[in-house]
Amino acid sequence: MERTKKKIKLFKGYSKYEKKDFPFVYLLILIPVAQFAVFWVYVNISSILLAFQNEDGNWTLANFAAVFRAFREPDTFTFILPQLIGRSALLWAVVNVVAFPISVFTCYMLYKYTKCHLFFRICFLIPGLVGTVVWTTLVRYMVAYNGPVTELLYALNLLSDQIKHDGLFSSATTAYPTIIVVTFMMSIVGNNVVLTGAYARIPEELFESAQIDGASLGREVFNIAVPCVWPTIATLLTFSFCSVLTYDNGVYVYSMGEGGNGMANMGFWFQYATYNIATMPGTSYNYPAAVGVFITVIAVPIALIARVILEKVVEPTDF
Amino acid sequence: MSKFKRLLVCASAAVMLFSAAGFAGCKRDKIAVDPSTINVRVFQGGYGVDWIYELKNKFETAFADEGYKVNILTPSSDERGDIVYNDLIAGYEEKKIDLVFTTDLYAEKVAGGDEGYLVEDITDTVYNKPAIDFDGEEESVNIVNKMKPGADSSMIALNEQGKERYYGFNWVSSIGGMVVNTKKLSAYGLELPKTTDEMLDAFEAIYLGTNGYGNSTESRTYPITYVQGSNGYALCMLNTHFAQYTGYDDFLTFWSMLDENGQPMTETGKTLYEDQGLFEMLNVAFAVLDPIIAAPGSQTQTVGQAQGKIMADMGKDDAVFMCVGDWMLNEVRYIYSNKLNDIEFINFPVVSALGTELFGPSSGYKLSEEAADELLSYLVGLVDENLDIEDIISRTQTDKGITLNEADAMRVAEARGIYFSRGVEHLAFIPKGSSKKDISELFLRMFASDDFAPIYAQTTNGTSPYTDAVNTNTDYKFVEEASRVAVNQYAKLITSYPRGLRRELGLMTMFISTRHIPMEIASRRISMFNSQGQIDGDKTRAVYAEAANTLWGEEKADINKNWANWIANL
Repeated sequence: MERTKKKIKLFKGYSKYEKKDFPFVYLLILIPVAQFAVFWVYVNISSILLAFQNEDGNWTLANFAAVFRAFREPDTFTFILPQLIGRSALLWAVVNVVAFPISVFTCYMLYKYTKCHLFFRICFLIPGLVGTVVWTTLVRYMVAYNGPVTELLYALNLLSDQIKHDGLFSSATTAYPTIIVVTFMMSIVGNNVVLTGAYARIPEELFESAQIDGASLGREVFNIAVPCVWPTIATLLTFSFCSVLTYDNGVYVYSMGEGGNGMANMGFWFQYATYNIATMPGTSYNYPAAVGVFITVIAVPIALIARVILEKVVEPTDF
Repeated sequence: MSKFKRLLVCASAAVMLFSAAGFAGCKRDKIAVDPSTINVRVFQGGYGVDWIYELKNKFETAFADEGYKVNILTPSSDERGDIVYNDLIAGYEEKKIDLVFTTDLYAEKVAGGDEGYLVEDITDTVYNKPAIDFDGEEESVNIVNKMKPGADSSMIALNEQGKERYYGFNWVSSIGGMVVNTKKLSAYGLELPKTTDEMLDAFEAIYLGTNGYGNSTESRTYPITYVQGSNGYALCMLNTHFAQYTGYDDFLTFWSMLDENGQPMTETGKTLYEDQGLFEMLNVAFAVLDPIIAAPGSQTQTVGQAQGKIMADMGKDDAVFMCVGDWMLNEVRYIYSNKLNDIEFINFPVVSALGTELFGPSSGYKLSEEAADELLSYLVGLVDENLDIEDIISRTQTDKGITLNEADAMRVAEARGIYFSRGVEHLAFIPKGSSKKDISELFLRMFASDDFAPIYAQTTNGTSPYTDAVNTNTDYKFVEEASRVAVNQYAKLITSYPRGLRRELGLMTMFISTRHIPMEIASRRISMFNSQGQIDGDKTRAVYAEAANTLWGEEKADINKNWANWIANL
């Protein structure tokens, strides 16, 4: 067989007329590309290199020694990392293992069986649009010593006088559980827009024929809808695995930058470390950078393995 | 792509680009280039900036013949810390700023720090010269002699020859103390406390109820409130009480770990944590920061909410006392404009353990503990009246029939005079290489004048660091009492700025085993009271002493465990 040399031609398939527009288009995307190069590529490379340097710029592995030490005793910021990682992982599990399946189901019910579901979609979208400070201030008010949630729980004899005195964020017993409950409630209707969009692409004929065959609601959801939108679900879950060890949801703002009463998790820790280093003389970003690299080294394989498993769990359905 | 589409895309991009530039706020200050006009940058904070415009007018009038002018560039709350530091690094040739009034920037960083000497040495040109009044005449006293001890801690750095020199100019005298709602205090029939025992007695009276008012759970008025988290308000109290008991010099040694010869205490530094003053400080702190007697929500509230509880009327889950600074009036004056004379500012009451040590059963005076505290309170009152030591001794003899030892009188006077300063962080610098530094120096010398002090007080509700006069020309008792603290003849400023060996070791906080002592204290929930407005069983204040001892012991153990390692890693 004659082997033909294939030339890889740049701009193959474009007419001469279209190629005239290329300089113009490149100019247009120059700024976003430059921004990406500076604020993502450079920043991340710099962060990784910082992990292997001391504050004088000399190469060292001492930062990683500090990371391992922080697994046994309080670190520079008086936190013990495994505790924080555990809290982040717990929050992640609540969102992605418990709330996410519920949200898949609730989004389907909303889309398929709820009149004016568009109105509800907009309502559920609003917390994501409202600034974090507004949302967390609202929650802080609701769980303050005189907030409606605290008053209700106290009236139901579910709170001690001590906790009622200062609110749910004032005690290690209730602070992080409050974060978990708030995050869970927000996650039940999370991803609403994405999932609804995915459900909308499923041909109606599939459901009609299922109904003719007498399929129950459960079969409709789990045997038809979910497999059809599985690529979307798999994508969402894959992305979520990237934050399995650092999941946060605004603890820094909820705790007003303190992380006290057992609220601190890894996401909080990074913000806390960054802020304190920026304002505290004699400290440097090398240690937090090393923590970041360490977490990344663990989280990346997890995310990749999760992606492979998720792709194999459900066979892709073409329609 | 059609020409029309291309045009539309370009127009959209141009609009977006220019609107982004517009949001950036492209207003530019005009830099004056003539040799008689200095360009001045000023930080805009709680004390405002009206004062500098007043000073500018007086300066330009006094030096009208010379044609000196002051060009004040747009004040900004960003004009602080690293932003100013980076401008100084950029240099005078680029920035053309002749004088900057800033905060969060110490002399050590900008003079002899990593970037060398970025500012001018003003020792001989400002501090060793007299202030200049509004007539352009020199006063009789050098500026350096107008400052209170400790006021210069942040202004000084070592020059190339290793000698201490002044590089910064302090422009605010700012005190960390307590605010008291005296209207509520009077309703309870109580007086402003002068000792910590008196303060805790007042707390007890409010919490348990007195003078026709029920306990706090009934009256819904509580003794104290505070700001959540690792803020500095309560730290002012801790440092002040520690310094009151241990003495000013030993306090400085604690924060520097340098001996009397200025040498690092590499062998003995850890013994500084054996100081009894730390226990006495914690003993009071556990009682004051008792979460049971604090107003509801104190552990999770912002400074605005805490101040709101002080200003609120009785019966609203409010409070009577709060640790805060003399800047509070400026922060609340617009929201609570009709209540500003309900509050007064006081320096932290003197720790009663000092009275026990000086006058108690095991002293030469052999007074009972109550009598010792009563004497301490009396002496504190005399110090507040700004009497000389001889007068204090004489009055004590007359009123109390007690012959007071001069050393003991001085010890009480020093303890009462000590106040925690947040103002030392507010410094002015003359950038290195300024071609008009002589004009800037004259401007600073006029700032330090007796003529300017009342104008400064009027415009800032604060106190100039260079005056001895109480601000009586104010509508607010709060402001007057704050100035009384600052100008007292026994005033000595303290800060929690680590120096010397402590800084080299990276021991930036008072305790190392705990990130923030007040937060730790609140989390331990030690109390002699229950949440029903009563004393819990037969508990007494001994519970606070026990908790203080425990925390102190933990800190000493941590220091002992790690000291050798820290020194080895130096």
